[in-house]
Amino acid sequence: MLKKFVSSLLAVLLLAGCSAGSAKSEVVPAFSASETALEIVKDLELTESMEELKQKNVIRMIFQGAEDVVTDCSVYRSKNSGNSDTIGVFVTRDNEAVKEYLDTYLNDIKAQTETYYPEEVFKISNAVIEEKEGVVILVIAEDIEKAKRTARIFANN
Amino acid sequence: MKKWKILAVCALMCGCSSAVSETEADGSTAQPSDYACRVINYYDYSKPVPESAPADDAYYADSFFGGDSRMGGLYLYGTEKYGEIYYTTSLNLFLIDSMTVNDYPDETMLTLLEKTDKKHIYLMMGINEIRQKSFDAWADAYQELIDTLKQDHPDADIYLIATYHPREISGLDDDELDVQLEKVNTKIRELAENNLIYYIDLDPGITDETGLMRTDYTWDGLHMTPEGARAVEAYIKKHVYRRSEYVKEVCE
Repeated sequence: MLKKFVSSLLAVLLLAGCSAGSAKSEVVPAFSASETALEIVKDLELTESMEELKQKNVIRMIFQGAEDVVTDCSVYRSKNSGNSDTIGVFVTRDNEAVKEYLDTYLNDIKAQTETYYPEEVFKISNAVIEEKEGVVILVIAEDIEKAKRTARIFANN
Repeated sequence: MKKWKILAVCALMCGCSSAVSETEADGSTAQPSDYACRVINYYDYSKPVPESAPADDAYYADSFFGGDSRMGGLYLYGTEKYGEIYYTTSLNLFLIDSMTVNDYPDETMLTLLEKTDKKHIYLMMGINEIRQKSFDAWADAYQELIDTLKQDHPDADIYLIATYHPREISGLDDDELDVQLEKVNTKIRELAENNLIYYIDLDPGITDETGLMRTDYTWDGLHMTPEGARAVEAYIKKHVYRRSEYVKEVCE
């Protein structure tokens, strides 16, 4: 009887140990705005033409200096003068606030582009915004359908 | 006898007083080190550069003009012999270190500003950010640029050209435009005053009785025609800061 109890107890303890060990190996990597943005750039085959902006310039330009709207962000912009291609990944506690700033930003650059590069207006007017809880993704690109598919995939990851 | 005594006393008193007056009147008897001298700058940095004698070719040869597409008007139609003049279409101050300069695809406005050796630096920016709700971050970015310029070019005169009043601009109605112009130009004025640099208000030289840019000076309500560029040039030419007119040594 005692033997049976001890061996059962040992089996239970071993199983508990294994499951605890496997739970430890399932740590979810932190979401990186920069890495995600770069992956989107690569997926859209825009690596050669885009460059990452400094984060402080993103905060100033898109969020008008408000530093508490996002906890992490990364924006890639076209290096070519007049090209409005943009990829932005924003980590936030308030998706709605981010989308409001993006809306203002898009209206602003559309008004500028109407003057200088009217051929870009259509692209900006059809900017893609996808989101999941805590993350908003912005893509302005020539291939709007591909931009939608890519943004959706990364938003659902 | 009494009369002679009175006369002698009078003569003595005259002698004493003249001796005293000689000492007071004779400045050369005092040593230069007895005077306290200091240099005073009478220039009012809170006001736009007032009208002055016109700048000459040598002045322009030692000048750097840089800015957004409005500066493109001077670049394309200007008649002065600028030492350096550049513009970037759609220039955004936040991207001054990444947006390339028109006709100079390997340069940004920042790299050109860092490299220049000109003594008079003129900057015209702000119209592409005119729709922002707040200009605090914009002013912070401009301050950083000014800090860089003052560090790299401590002897240069820096001029910030205030945003002149266009006839119209997309995305803003007339009232909104007035409000935004007041906001951005207030920041420019404050930057000039706080950094002891100069700002130029072009409106008196290029606007009509409505307070808007003259119709013959612009082809789209904002950008200069050749006539507009010459009017801007003429105004800037006669609004130059000269140290000798404002900085004086005062000795007490």
